[in-house]
Amino acid sequence: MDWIRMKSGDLAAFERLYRAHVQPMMRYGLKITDDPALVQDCIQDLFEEIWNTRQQLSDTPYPKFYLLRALRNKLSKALSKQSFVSNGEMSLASGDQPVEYVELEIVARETETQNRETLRNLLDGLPRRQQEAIHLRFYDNIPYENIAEMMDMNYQSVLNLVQRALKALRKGFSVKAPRQ
Amino acid sequence: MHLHNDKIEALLLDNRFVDWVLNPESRYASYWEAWAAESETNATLAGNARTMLQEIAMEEEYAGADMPEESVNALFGRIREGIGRPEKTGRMKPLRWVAAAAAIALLLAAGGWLLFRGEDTSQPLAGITKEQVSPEVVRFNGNSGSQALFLPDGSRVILAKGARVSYSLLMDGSKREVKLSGEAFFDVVPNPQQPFYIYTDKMVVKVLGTSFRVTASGKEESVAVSTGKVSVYLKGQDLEQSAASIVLPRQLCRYEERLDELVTESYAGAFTQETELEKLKALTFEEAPVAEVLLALEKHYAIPIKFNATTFENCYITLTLGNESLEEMLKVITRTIDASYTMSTYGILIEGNGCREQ
Repeated sequence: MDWIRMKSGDLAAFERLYRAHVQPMMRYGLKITDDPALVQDCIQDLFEEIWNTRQQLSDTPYPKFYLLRALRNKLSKALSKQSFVSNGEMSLASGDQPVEYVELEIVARETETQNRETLRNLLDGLPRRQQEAIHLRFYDNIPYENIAEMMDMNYQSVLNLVQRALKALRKGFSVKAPRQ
Repeated sequence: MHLHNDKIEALLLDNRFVDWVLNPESRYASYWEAWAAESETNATLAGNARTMLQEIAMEEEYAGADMPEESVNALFGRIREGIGRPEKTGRMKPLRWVAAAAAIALLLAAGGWLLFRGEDTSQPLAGITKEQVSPEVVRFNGNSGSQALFLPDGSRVILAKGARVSYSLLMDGSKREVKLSGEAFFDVVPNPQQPFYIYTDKMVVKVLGTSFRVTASGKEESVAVSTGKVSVYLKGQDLEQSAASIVLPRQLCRYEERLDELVTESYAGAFTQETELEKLKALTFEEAPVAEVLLALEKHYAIPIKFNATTFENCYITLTLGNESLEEMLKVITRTIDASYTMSTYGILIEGNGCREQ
């Protein structure tokens, strides 16, 4: 609704879109990079672009998905421009974290979690791409097919990615969900 | 046990299930409720999957901190400045306000309103401690005729063509403060606890409750009083210390640029805007759907009002938009439909259980 109003030049609708989404965008951006200033800059650029090109934008019933995806693209571009970013961020940005690396991470974390029981630690221990997918699906309520599109993966790979993450998180729940 | 966990994961890999847990308005709700009711196993699975999902969501909520309100506002201020620039050529400061104002003019010609809190580039108000509690609302009359509007305190303003007022969204500071450019007619609700100030380029008008016209367009700056009385100061004067020009009915106080002082003289002109005010008083709702009333409030008070239209679809209200403040109005409405309201810098949220069908 606000998206359509915004497209027709309604600045109040534009501000509502901004205010409704800036927090999830910021939170999501910080899953991709640790640099809040960079995330803010990208959010600023993105909204300026949206307003300036609003007539050419297509309609979307899910502005949140649109905004998060666009933010990810912006961050990827910005991160790949910074030639001295850390390896972790680079590989995330270009979407080529090797599978072996991911599996190794989980195994390592799983042994570690014998003593670290809290869900938070488990979540922090996930590889970044798993954290990102978990955040998008279980915090931002973005459907798996859209996550696949955003993260440039195929649908089944996203399900596999999240499933691995859930298995790793299981330990955090063995105590908390005994009602069976 | 393993099988049970696998099934929980299968649920969490199902978009429809996740949507049901996260989205209070999920269209899959009835499906999953029925599914959980089918058997005890299903109910346990759904319960466990739900708990797991909610805990993850909660952890994600706690892990990241929300951006502070000021940063959210500041960032939007920068975006607003940015969209005033036609091309992306460096970021220059001073001219942007003008460009933004031009954009506003165009937009509001379509009958909209807008709300923002940018960096305030207008001149500082000397001698006045500025407190800004909620975001600033700017209302510009881009129509060909004059336009009537309500302020949050219930005061009414008739904006002449091209005039602009701005004030804080909820007007919840210790003073009611309005900035004006162009010509406007004010009908101010008396409230000695919260005096009403109008700032123009050269003058400050202090009001206790009265009706009068202020002109602040280009060279001419004047105040003509219809009823009551107002005090007028030169901008930059210390309001507590200096003597004000008291302006009485049928008087006009204007800024004399040559002398840089205020001159008060008698005024025989008519206040044509008073008839416009009368029209506003005719805004009456009789057994109207509450959504209609709220939309009218949203429009007249220029404040976003959020409510669930489905919940309140059976609620009807009889009401006249009079001199009451927005808050008084909301109290009456929510009492009638057994709901509650919250005011924040985002606007107003109305919540309740709706009304029974009549």
